[in-house]
Amino acid sequence: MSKDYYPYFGNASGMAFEFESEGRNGKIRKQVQYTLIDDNGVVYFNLGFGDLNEQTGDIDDLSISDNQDREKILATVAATVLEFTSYFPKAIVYAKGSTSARTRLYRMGIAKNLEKINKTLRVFGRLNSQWHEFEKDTNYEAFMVFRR
Amino acid sequence: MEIKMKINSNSAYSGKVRGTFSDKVKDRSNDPYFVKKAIDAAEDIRKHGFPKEALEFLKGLK
Repeated sequence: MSKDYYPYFGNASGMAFEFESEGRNGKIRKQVQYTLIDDNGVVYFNLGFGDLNEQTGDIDDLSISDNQDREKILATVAATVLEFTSYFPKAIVYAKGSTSARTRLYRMGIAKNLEKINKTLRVFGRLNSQWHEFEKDTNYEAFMVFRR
Repeated sequence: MEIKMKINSNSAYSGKVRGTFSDKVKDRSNDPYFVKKAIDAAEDIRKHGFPKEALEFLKGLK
């Protein structure tokens, strides 16, 4: 994985991570949140990601910070996936962007860091309702990862 | 068949943080945005299912 990622902090649960994006629009706090879903006994986690609104304390996923640091942000999110699954090696993580553009960004982030990610995780992408082992240059609708 | 779903607050699955720890980082699993994302994810999974490899992975946990 690219070493160029932001330092991030985790909380005691191991499911929440925060870091600061820095760029031309200043510092913007970002949160990565893994939310447990227990669907009739099938347990997995959703990866949620968004900007932390300093005023309200709420998450805003649709904001565009435009700090020109997209790859660094994606590498940081990827780093949290590796860290999260080290705490919870039996976890399955599902990820999908709030918009198709955001999902494409996730795909780019995975592709960029695939070599490192693949050493530890199996990555799948969903295309036309079918899951496939992740391949670069395919516009998937959603992603799923778990430890090898 | 009724499907019951729980979006947990994560407290039952607390783990250890080996990296940089900060008590300033809040668990926001109950933030409305993340709750909605989790509900959307669950609906998505119900509709499209899991990769067969993920199901095998889950079976291996039992």
